[in-house]
Amino acid sequence: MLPFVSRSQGIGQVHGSFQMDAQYYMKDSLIGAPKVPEKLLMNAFANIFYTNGNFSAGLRYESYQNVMQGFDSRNKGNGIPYRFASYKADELKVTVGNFYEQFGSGLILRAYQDWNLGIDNSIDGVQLQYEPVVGITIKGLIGNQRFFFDKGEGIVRGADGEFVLNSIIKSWAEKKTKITFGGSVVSKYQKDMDPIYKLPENVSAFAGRINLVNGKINFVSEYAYKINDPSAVNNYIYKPGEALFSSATYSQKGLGISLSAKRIDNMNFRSDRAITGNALMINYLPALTKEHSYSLAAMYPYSTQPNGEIGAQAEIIYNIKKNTKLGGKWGTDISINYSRAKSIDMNKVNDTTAIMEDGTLGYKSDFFKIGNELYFEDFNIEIDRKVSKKIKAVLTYLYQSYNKEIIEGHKTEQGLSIVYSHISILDISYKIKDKKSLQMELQHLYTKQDKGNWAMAMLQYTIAPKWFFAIGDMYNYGNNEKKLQIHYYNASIGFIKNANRISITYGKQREGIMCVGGVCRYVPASNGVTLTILSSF
Amino acid sequence: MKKYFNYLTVFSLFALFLFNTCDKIEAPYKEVVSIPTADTVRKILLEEFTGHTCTGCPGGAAVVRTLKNIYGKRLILISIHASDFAEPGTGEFSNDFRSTTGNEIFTTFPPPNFPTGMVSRTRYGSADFITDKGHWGERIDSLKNLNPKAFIKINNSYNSGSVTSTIECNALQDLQGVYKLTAYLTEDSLVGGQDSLNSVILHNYVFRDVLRGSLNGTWGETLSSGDISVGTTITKIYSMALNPSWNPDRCSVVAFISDSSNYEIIQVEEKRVK
Repeated sequence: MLPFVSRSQGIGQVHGSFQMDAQYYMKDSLIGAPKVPEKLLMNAFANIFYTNGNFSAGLRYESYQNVMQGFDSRNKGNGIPYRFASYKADELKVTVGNFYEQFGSGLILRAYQDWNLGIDNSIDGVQLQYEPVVGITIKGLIGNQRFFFDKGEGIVRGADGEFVLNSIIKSWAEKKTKITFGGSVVSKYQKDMDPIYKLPENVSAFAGRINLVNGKINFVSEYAYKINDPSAVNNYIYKPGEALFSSATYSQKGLGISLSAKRIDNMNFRSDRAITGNALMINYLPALTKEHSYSLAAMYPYSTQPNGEIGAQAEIIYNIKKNTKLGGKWGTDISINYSRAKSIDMNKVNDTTAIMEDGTLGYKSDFFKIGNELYFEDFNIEIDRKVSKKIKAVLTYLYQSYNKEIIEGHKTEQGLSIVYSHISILDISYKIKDKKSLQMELQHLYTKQDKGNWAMAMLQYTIAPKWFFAIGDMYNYGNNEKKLQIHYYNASIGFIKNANRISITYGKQREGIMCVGGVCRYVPASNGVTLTILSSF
Repeated sequence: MKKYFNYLTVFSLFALFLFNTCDKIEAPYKEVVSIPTADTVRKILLEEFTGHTCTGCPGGAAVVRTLKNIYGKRLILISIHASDFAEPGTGEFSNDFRSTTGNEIFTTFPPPNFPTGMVSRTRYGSADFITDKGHWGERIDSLKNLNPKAFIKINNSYNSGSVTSTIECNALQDLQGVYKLTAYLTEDSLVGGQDSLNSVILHNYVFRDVLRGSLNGTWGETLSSGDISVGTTITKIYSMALNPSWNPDRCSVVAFISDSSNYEIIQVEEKRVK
């Protein structure tokens, strides 16, 4: 038993945050918005955290009345799915209850929450973190993962060690090259009650990583290996999984270059082998594509393929100095980004076994060979320039190839797998007075596939720091079916005061998917009024 | 330096402990199971949500067939074609396998993804009725050994495009509360196009046990206004006109008794229309 003497500092502090998203739905059969029997649906949460010296505790209350369209319907009712208490006594930090954690880049363990994606794979159990000396951090954890308002049946166990050599070896302390390495092991247990397969009840994964920093250069690499883990996602094949992720960056004033690459092979890792979708994921496979915020640029986002993909990304960010011919009076920022993801090489394990056949080793794969199928490609260039004291412009061009069949699980309406699109965006901000500004976005997407061409315009008027008003229209004028050449108009008003923000939006939402970090959720078409309230204290 | 070595050793030992928690499985990877059959056993209904543009659904159907091979007549199947995945398209995708009954089940038990299903409409933990395909087997396995609460016998007669189904329900235990009898009609071995993984269209794909409709409404009829004592027999008769495009030789009546307090199907039976 570990004694804990509270080093309280007064009565401590309470912090919290709140978010409510509610939508009133109207049936719109033309855009495919279904009739919602409740008419009004709401998702909300409140975080309440208490800290006092080395002690902290907190909870999150969640309410789904009923869960909004596009989120998992297993989120039902109200409850407290997240609560914890934590203290630090000298070198040891102890957390009991729910916690989030990430080992390395997350290849074998990342417990995290994303409200907009509807993801929360927090672990409920015990987490220890021990820092015996500067430069060494050892973590251990054990618990069950959150499964909506319940818990998954699998038990997750893990350990991670990180060693900063420049801190451990005194003679290296002043060296220019900083080296950190780490290693982790994660194991899950789930009882085998399946009548079809002989399933491994204990499945372990291992990872090793290194981080080198030398002046302007930073290099990170991690390799992970997982033993046989047949699951619903990999069609119950028994092949071991592996993943390699590497990234190198160079940065100096006015210039940034980054190169990254990854190979993923059968690395879906969940605490329940039978679960699909965004639940009970133990690990996280980083996306190597740029996340776009403009609506049409984000229309075809990439979703990481855990069963296998090879991807790479390169990005250059360059600042053309001010008061130069090219840079203009205020300077110009240019960003060029290219990413590409393809399938991995897959070959039959023998003449009589089909690739990915259940109850077999599934396939053989040459580590260095790239498969034939293109999953995603994105070339984009963004020029950001202040034109005058009052006007700033951002010009963006993108070329994307999007394998809808792989990413969304179905082909386009023309029966095609890949959507090729050219996207142009002009974003102009005009500062009217000190606190008043106008922003206009003009966007266009050209494609011969899927739903054809789109055009979008948005105008936003802001009275800082309290008010904003926006109107916009996304027009699918290139749809092959005349009746589906629909205007997705919307209008919104927002009010911000100190830590409170309220916004109301009325309009139509097109059907699609939204992704954060390569993890996606389906967004159904809707027509209605949305109220969002954010608050913190 | 020695103390760092000690820390590394402690971490390595811990990691080694976790390393050893591995179950490496050697081929053959599949179980060999034999299931006894008897007349008065609890039979299980697997309702699978599917659609012809759902690329993962052939994988779900394959699990269904594997389970059917294991459990034989103890497992009764219904494929519910619903959602956008089941919307008719053109050519070999012009089939419309949706039904009013299927749509109502889909709305009441909305599946978070496809292919998913319900095993005798029992809950998965406390979370939901819907289970992913990987859980169907263990759910079936956990139900199959429970003592049956009722026995169902179906007699069908087919005349002039209509089926008349006489369904006899026997209580094998005292049934307290409200129990409902529901009778659905399914059609087997329909053919059409099916999307599957890796951009492959499965031509002339055979759709099994497709839900066509109900003989007595989606939620059935109350068996008795009061509790039902062990040994009680209740007989219900329902008729349904078959759509002329349906093949009566491939149609079956699936009848089940469910506990209306929690939807759980306590017994199910199936009989060919002809």
